[in-house]
Amino acid sequence: MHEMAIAEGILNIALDYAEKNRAKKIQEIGLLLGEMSGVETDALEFSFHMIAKGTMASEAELAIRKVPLQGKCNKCGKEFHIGHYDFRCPECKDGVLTLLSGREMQVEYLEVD
Amino acid sequence: MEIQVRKNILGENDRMAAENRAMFADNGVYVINLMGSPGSGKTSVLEKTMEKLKGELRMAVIEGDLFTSKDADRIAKHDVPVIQINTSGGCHLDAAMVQKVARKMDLAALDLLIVENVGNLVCPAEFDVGEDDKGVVLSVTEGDDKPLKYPLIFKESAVAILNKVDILPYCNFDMESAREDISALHPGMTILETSCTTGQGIEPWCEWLRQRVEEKQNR
Amino acid sequence: MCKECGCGEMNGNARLHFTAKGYTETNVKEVEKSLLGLPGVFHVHIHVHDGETTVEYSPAKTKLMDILGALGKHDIEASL
Repeated sequence: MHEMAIAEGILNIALDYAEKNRAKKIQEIGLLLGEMSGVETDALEFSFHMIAKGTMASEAELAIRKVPLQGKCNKCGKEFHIGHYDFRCPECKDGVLTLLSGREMQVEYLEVD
Repeated sequence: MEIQVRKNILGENDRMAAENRAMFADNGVYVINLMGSPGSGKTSVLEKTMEKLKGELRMAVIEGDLFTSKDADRIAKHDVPVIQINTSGGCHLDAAMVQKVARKMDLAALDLLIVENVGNLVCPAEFDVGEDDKGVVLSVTEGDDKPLKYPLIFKESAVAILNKVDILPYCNFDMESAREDISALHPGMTILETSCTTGQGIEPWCEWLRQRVEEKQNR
Repeated sequence: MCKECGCGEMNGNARLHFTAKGYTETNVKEVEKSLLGLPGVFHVHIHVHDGETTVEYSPAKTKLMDILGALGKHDIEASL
């Protein structure tokens, strides 16, 4: 459901940067999406294409680079992939994982004409 | 031509709220962000809720206050997991505060998580903490003019609980007028009348919660 | 929006102040209700006798067109 808010954010940034650079058409929008945001890429693409109609981004492709949710235990120092938002260390009894990656949510680049 | 952008899509609070939302959804927990003036009866309504739904729904509460753990202590007496957030002067809870606490909870073991926000009719409405719904508690001693004076909180909430109706005969609160104003601000919003003293309205409120929990779990 | 403590959106709300024709004692309440019911509209004040209208709203949530549309539905003509 929140994919719509994210799609709007992407569209605003893309149109803003495209206009500033005097672009005529946006071909591709590069996105960096961390796993923590739980964004469903299908829903995001659907929302985006719906609101991009009639704009410079109407035919833009979303190139999504996903970043896995990785954490490091504050006790044993080992690194793990975090599943189901469980921040407890799978090995130590009371270790907590601090995030290394997976929180990114940005527009990386635009490919324009 | 390639344009380097590297710009965050959402503001900081919205980004963290999105993370919270995903975390709650992944664990199938329905979350309500309960707001209202200081003294409107938020904690009392929650105590009545705990009494009624205990054994039926697996619940937990996140309490928000500037100082003290008085509210958390009250909830704890009902044997419901509760964590107190003290903002030390902050006028509202934000997504980062809720995330820090939620990460320590066993969300998979919950059906319903209630976030009781700091007593305040202004600021909390501005801040998404990743909830499914917002709710506002307004007591009849506060005046029937409050909805129009605080439009945002009523527009943002899915439910308005008009509390302390047992003392309506002693207040200047025009119930019809208040309901009309709330409906004007937010057509179709659920409006419930409650009294924690007599127990009036608590069952319809709990039924509303049950339905939202069920809907969330079926998603 | 929270001007008191500085939290929330800084660039938030807009205020429209204009005169409009078509208000009557009978329709003014309905018009106020229609406007207030729009998601981004926070405050409406209408003077029936001279048509002076004030609307405070969040352009992010409700567009000017929506406000004019709501007025139009009640046959109110705004001079903006």
